[in-house]
Amino acid sequence: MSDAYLLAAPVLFPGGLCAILGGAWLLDARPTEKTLGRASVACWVLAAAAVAALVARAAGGAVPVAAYGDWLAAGGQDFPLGLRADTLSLVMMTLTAALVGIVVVFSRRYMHRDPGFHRFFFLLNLFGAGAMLLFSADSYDLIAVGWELVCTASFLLVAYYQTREAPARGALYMLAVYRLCDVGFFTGIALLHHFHGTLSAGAATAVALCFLLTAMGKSAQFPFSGWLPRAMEGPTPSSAIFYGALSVHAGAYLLLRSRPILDASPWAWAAIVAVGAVTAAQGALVGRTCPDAKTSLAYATMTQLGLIFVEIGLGFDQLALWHIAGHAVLRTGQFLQAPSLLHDHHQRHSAAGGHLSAAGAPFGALLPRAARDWLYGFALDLRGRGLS
Amino acid sequence: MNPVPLAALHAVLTAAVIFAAPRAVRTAAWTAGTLWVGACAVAGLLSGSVLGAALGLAGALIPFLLTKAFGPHAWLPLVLLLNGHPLALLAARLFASLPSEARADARPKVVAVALLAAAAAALLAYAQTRPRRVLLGLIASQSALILAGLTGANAGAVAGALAVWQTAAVAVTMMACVCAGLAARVGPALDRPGYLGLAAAAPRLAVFCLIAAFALGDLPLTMGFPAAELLLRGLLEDGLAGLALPVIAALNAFVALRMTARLFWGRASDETRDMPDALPRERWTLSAGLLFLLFGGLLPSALLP
Repeated sequence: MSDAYLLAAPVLFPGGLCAILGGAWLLDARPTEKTLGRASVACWVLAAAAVAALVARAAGGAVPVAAYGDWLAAGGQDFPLGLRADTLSLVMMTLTAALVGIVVVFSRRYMHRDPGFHRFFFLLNLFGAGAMLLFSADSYDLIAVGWELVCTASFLLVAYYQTREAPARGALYMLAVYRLCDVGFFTGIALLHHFHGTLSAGAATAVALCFLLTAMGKSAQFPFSGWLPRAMEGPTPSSAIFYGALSVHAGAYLLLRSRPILDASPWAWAAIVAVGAVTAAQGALVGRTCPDAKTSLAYATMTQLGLIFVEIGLGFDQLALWHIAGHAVLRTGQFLQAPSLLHDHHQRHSAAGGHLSAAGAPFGALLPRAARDWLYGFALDLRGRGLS
Repeated sequence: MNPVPLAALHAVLTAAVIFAAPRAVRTAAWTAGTLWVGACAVAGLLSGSVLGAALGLAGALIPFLLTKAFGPHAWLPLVLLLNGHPLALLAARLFASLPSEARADARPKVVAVALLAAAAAALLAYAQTRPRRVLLGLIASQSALILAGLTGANAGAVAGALAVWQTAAVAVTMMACVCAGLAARVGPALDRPGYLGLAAAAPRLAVFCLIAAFALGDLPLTMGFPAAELLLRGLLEDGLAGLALPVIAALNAFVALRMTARLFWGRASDETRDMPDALPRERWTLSAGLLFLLFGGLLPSALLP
């Protein structure tokens, strides 16, 4: 099979299933839960097989690339469609295929008999198609398409339990942050078109800072991190795949993909390191004040994302990529386990003979009591003001 | 005429309209606000600034429309009339009839003023809570974007403007139809602040409204995305003023989606719980609009000039 088919398959399988579900909705048809679940699993098995074939091709030394002509050609403007699978893309595509597949299998039972079962699977597949497009796109224009699909699916899944007001408010807050930060993405892309790809140092800095703004929004970096805890109102499987695994790492991916632009701008490096360090400290502090499992996990995610930004800013791209992969897998597992966390903890507690200590307690004890109290109050205040 | 004072006058008049119109809308001082923007229009006419006069008149018109014509009754025909964006076409036609040198001199200013007007209208829509007023702000914003593109110097901007025109006309009409249908079902409750929870009773209407809002917000898979992309690239060929477009698009997207969320999310009240979902006639009409927006988003070359 040619590279063009293999590269398109991971996008087209889940995207095609969404199209079929949308058509069925228009015609008032409704597949059973079992049919939809099986079709989703089949889609992701096929997508994973295509990604595995791409990995095998890339292991041979050639980067699979495909061009599909112009998606849009009007008024002297064109919009070429192209996909590629270099190392960075392949790592993210492999993660996407594996983790979305796991979450699809998990959700068949977790969402069983939920009134929004079909809506959930439609949005999950839409997200999967968008993520695959985002990670395999050959141009910033196409990355933007995948980016916005991921954003759209996130928005609708946070508001999944739409009869309650808290998820609706959380989704609108997240949408506001996303749209604000996406202004940076579209401005950066527009600047790249305006300068026709030949950037001076000043222009490179402007584009890099635009992309940094975008990445900060998507990866919940300070001061745009307030949406992440609010996004935990969505169903647990979607929290796992969006805010533990893939969606939040898209910002870091964008920065890694933009390495040539970042290299031309030392200011951008400094800004990335500063943003990452502040976010890591904020996440570590505020996370200790959270009473529930999912919100604690959200802040733990924020901390790791801050560290990943620091690694990218310092130029450790390989380390950052491994960090993303490891963190995504670990966090997906933790989120999926969150509903039974207390039960598991009690079991472990009993198995250890009642001697489990709180995580990080020995490090906390190194600080004087007054400093610990002040830091706790400061973190509570940050959370209370909605700054994080 | 010296272009510098003219540009300054335009800026002052535009700022006056931007600040006066929302104030007139938001506060009870309708008369004062309308008089203020009306005075801007007269000042524009007296100073010979056609553009200033037009903006002033538009500013005076908005409070009138919001209070009178966009009242609770019979507003759908007016939406359909305004949604054809005839004023944008008229302004672009007038602009095209200018001598070529004057047109070239005025073009950056016209584009900048149109983008400012689009941003102002989007802010106006943001300040509203009633659906019909939000829709009016969105129509005005899209109309100003169309004007910015139609007066552009290159084919890309004009093609983008025509694409935005098609998208906005279909998407706003769909949203207006949904709102009119809901108004017929729930009456004045539609204007109630907060979340109305209508998706519980009308999930199909919710999806139609959501897809139209996505198109107005220039999100992918709808025709709004290629339209905005074309317009942005076209405007940037004429100068960096086009960089305002992503900000305006973001604001429009937020406003349109917030309106949809307020209508359809949240807990339904007892009086709205038993209302009917999309009736067959509504359903097939809205389905046609939805398919147009999605088809234009997937295969834009088939629909765009």
